[in-house]
Amino acid sequence: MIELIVFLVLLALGYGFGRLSESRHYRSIFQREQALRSIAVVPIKIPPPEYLRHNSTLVSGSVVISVDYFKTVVASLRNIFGGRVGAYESLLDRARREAILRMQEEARELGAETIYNVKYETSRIGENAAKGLGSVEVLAYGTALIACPDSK
Amino acid sequence: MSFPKENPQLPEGINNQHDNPFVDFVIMAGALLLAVVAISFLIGWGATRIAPAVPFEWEPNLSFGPSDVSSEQDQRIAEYLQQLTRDLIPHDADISEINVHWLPDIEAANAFATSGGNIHVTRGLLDAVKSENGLAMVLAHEYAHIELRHPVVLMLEQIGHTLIALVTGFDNSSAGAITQQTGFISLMAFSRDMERAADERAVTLLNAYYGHSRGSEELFEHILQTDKDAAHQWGLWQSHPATQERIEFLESQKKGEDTHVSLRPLPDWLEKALNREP
Repeated sequence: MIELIVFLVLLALGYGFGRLSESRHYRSIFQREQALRSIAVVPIKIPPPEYLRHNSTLVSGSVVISVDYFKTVVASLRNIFGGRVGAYESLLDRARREAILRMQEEARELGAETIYNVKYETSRIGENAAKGLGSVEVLAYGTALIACPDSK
Repeated sequence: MSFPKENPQLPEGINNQHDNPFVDFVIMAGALLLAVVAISFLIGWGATRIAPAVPFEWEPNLSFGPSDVSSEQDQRIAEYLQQLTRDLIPHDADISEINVHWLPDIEAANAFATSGGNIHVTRGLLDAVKSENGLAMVLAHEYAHIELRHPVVLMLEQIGHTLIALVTGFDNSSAGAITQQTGFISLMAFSRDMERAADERAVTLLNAYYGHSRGSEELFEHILQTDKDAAHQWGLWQSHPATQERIEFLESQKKGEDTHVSLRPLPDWLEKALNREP
């Protein structure tokens, strides 16, 4: 009985706080994506010739987001029924977009206008990862192009 | 070719459809609960029908307690319990070879049956009952478990639930926990049904032997008096029906004329052995 109460309390806390932090995070993501739209992020490996006189430097953005208890329960149930794990999709979507935003913020501070050769890396961290409770890290990195005064 | 001047504004919902996970949870948890309850019911239903077909000789002989009786007095008590049980068993019973084990060192008032036709009686139980009738009720109840093949039913149910747990995850995952909890609750529901069936059969055996079932509630009255929590214990996780419910059932089984019948006392030597005034 006590186990069930603990389970339900953790579930309710996970759902409540998880939804709250997720909606807050998405609001922040929407605003910042809009604000940083001018820093173009492209995956191509070689910049066009007109950028050959630009300075270039590595920029990166990294984020770690924890899985809440409710999401682990839903994902664990999904393991039985199969199908799309929506609970984790939102987690990774947030993490990817946040990592890009942080990378863009670094680029903006350096005065860059474009980041090319952008790549992602995703990994799971956390001591309780084996139990489904863990955190996900997303790292985005690329080469920022900074216009030289004499290149303009 | 040139770089774009700004990032395009992509539509939302490509990588994350923003579904409410609560709806997902309710559907999946509900389906899992229903499935486990349905399978548990099938296992319980099947086990109660398969168990009687399993030959009694196949039951593993499982017993606890001292293999040799320590003192002459313990030997005498063990023989008395064995004889009383033998007297309660109908002459035409299919299972008549029962071994009663006396556990003189256990203070908790308890008796239990194990597979292979073994009944165990603790010292605490003899302290709890006031008359032979009260003791006979407990022995008859345990014999009823054996006669109704409850140890086999329990074994089959546990095998079934272990299989479900293996399929859904025997680890600490949440789905595994939900399955195990639901399975356990189902097992307890079947256990309570078995206890009720054993009580009912025990009353029949008492009526056949004594001609009445007075005194059958002695142990349960003792539990209510000594265990403050017993009056409130009822729930999905309990292996036995509520003590009060069992007393009410036993009272309902008494015949009108039973109130005038005197109870058969425990033998004087046993009262002395229990350090009580006969």
